[in-house]
Parts: sequence; C-alpha cells; structure tokens
Amino acid sequence: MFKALTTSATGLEAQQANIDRIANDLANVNTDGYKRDTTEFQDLMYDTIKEPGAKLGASSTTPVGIQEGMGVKVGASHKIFEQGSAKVTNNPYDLMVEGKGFFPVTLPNTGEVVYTRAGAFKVDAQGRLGTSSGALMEPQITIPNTATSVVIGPDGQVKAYDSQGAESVLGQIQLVNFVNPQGLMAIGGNFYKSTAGSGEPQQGVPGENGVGTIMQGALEASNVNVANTMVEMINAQRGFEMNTRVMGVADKMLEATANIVR
Amino acid sequence: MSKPLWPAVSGAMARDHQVEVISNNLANVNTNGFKRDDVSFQEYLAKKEKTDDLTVDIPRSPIKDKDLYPLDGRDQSFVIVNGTHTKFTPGGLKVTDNPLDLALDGPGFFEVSTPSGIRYTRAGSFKMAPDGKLVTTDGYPVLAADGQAGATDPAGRYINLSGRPGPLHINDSGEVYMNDEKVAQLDVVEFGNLDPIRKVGGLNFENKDPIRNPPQVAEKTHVKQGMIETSNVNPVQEISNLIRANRMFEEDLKAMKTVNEMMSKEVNDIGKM
Repeated sequence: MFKALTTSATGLEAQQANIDRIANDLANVNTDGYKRDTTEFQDLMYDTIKEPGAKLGASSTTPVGIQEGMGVKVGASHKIFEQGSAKVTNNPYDLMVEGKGFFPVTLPNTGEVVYTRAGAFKVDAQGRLGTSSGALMEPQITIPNTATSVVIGPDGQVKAYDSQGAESVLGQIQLVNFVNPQGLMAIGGNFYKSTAGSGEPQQGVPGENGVGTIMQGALEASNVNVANTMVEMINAQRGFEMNTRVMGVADKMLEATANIVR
Repeated sequence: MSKPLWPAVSGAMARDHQVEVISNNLANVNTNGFKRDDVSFQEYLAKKEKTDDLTVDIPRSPIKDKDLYPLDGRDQSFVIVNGTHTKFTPGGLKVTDNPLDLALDGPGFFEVSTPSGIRYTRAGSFKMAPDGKLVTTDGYPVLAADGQAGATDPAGRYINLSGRPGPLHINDSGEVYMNDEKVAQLDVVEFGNLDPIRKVGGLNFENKDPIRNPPQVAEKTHVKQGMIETSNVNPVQEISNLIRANRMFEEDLKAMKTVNEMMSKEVNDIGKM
C-alpha cells in the first residue's frame, strides 16, 4: 500500500511535467519561429513477485507471474520541428525557411554560432543583418545605406538596388540542416545549439541539400496547435486527478488498517 | 475460533495487490505504448475435514442436517493473487505527424536490441542517434528484419539513416524509404502466445519462453507512420476497480474486527461465568 502511494506520486510528477510543458507551449502560441515540445513517458521497472514460467512440477510451469509496476517517469522531451504556417508581413528583412533548415547566427556576447528558425531580422547601426537580440547572421550581410530596396531570393541571394536602379549582390544567406534536429538544445530566445545528439550542422545554399528555401516578407508562425494542446491539457489534468484519487484510496486503506485495533 | 481471521486477512492482502496494480496503471494513463495489467484472484482451499462420500452412522445416532453436507474446506478457504496479466488490447492512435513516430496496428511488436538482450516494444516514438541509427527514446537500436524474425546477431541488423538527407517514408509493411530508396525493413514480430511476454520497464517486453514461443514474422500487423499508440488504460474501469477494491478491503477489515470481538468475548466473558 505504501508502494501505491509512491507509484501515484510518480504519476503526479509526470503529469505535472506534462502540464509545465503545455504551459510553455501555450505561452508561445504567438512566438514566431517557436517549435512545440512533446513529453514522452515510460513505465518504471517492475517488481516481480512470482516469476512467469516458474516450474510447478516435472512438466508444468506457471503460465503467468505476478508483477507490480512502480509507476512512470518522463522518458524524454523534445521539440517537434513541424513547419509552422507562413505569416506575410511584407517586411523585406522578415525571412521564413520553407523546409528543414535553420539560420546560423552569432551570439553577440560569446561569439558562438547558434541556430534559429525565427527569421525576423533587423538592420543594426552598421547596416548588418541580425536578430532583434543582436545576434548577427552568419556569414554577415551588410546592407549599404544607399540601398532603396533589398531583394532576397528563394536561393538566399541578397541583392540591393540603389535609387538609380543599379543592382548589387550583397551576399549569400546560408542555411544549415541537422541529421537529428530533435537532438538540438533549445537555449531560449528562439535559438538552438548543436549537440552530439543533433550531429554536426550541414551547411547548404537554400534549395540544395534539403535545407529548404527562403521566403522573403514572411515569418514562420508558432507551430503550437491550440486545439491539440488543449486536449493534451485535459488529459494531463484528468491523469493528475486520477492519481490523487489513488493516493486518497491508499490513504483510506492505511487508515482503516490502523483502526482495526483501537 | 481463530481460523476465520485468516481468510479476511488474505482478502485484504489480495486487495492490496490489486490497488498496487491499479496505481501503476493510472500512473501510466498518458504513457504512449503502455499496456495495462490486471490481477487475477484464486480461491485457495485449505483442507477437507469431511470427505464427499458420507458415511452416516445409522441408526446409532440421529441424523442431523450437516451430516449430509461435505466439509470440503470451503469454510476456511483463502484468496490469493495467482497472477498479473498484461492486457495487450490496442490503445488509441494519436496523430503526431512526426515521421519517426510509428504505431502498430495489430498484435505485433518492434524488435529492439538492449544490453540485456532482445526486447520487444510497441512504443514507436523512435529517434535518430548522432551516428544515424534508428533508436528508441532510451537509445536502444531498433532492428531490421533479415527475412527470418529474430534469427541472427542483432548488431548486423541496426537501421542506419545517416548520409541520406531527404524525406523518410515508412509504409504499412514496415519498409523504410529515404529519397525513394529502400533502406531497411523494420522487424515487426508477432507471438503465438502472449502470456510469456513480460514487462521489463521502459515500455519494453521480454519473451520468457523463446523456445516454445518464438517470434514470428508479422502477418496481421501494419506500421502506421506519423502516429503513436496511446496507453490502453481505461480510466473509468480503473477508478471503478479502485473503488471496489477499497470497499472490499473495508469489508475484510470489518470481518477481522468482528472476529476480534468474538475472540475477545471468548477469552474475557466466557471465563467470567
């Protein structure tokens, strides 16, 4: 009975982890470039009281044993890199990746290259393209102040036109791809870091190597599906309640046992 | 007089087992690929005091009613838990659109290589390891078929997805295609008898009787890509079992109390007369 108490406690903990994750997903329902998480559960080890297949006699064995499980744990939580829908903004520096790739950017404080799907780039005082938190695009692209319009093609080529209509090529946006994007580590600010689990980044020109293409003037909306997440929340909440119910019953049984002798 | 105490104690202990199993089922109500357990009880007859073939001593003593009924031990039987069974009824299918989420439609299992040997699972939320191997959430490689289920060294049957960027498709019969090129055939197996398939935790199952119950190539099982099988725990059923177990436990304790009172009367009150 004490085991039932701890077993349902593992259930509460797992459902709580689920609710925490759902809360984060719903909080980011309007965060451009956000990718939803998933929580995966696993059952814990089993206490085998009677081994199935134990010998009963010379030629007979028990068909089934007695096993009592010890509950549940969170096995993994990872991002689901499903494509979010396009949100047209008509801002020339809003870029969206159609496909699996990521934009490589350099963090301003550490100089580390990290990866993002949130393509809301801005131009800084020196004309360099970077995110709103100041992470510059890698390789760097500088927009001259004589440029009146900037065109970024699906292949990532950045072209500027000045007031006379003269075209100049400013650079080439690169995208990177990972063997296992689910192994990327989310570090906040819409950035991801590569890990041993994700594999080395594979750089490519947009349109090649399966990195996807670039769409100018659009942003990738969050891929959180509100209806689905709500269903998950109901499941998690009811799961939580049922585990508290088991705790209550185990408690009542213990109480009743203690009251046999008064 | 002390005898009737033990059947009640055995009943309470059996209910205790049942609550443990229900608590584990409910803890795993949202665990994908989980299969619920059930407890079975058995009546355990203690001994026969009077045999079935009655010899009534006529005519030296008058015949009483109870002379005509055998006492076959039913008056002092016990209840024991004789087994827990895993119920392999299918769970629901949940669409995830993740290409590496695979659900099994049918009675089969995926084969997984773990350090302690080959294990079986229905939790098909697979991942790609850094070296490109298809693995479970715990990092155990998922095995490909070599035409004959479970025949050869598992190390030769790992599924490698690296070096082939591009869309991944897995069809109903478990054939893995990348860039329209067949990479592997997932090993999906079925068992003639599911009783020796035992849980080992981590959503894996072990075959305890591989000689008489070998894995067979799946015929009735289909692989569904982008879906995951949810837990087959039915909360309504579990909660109603829980309430029943709780009430029966209380009844058993009441019986114990009654026996206790009777014994107390025997010891204290009869002596006073």
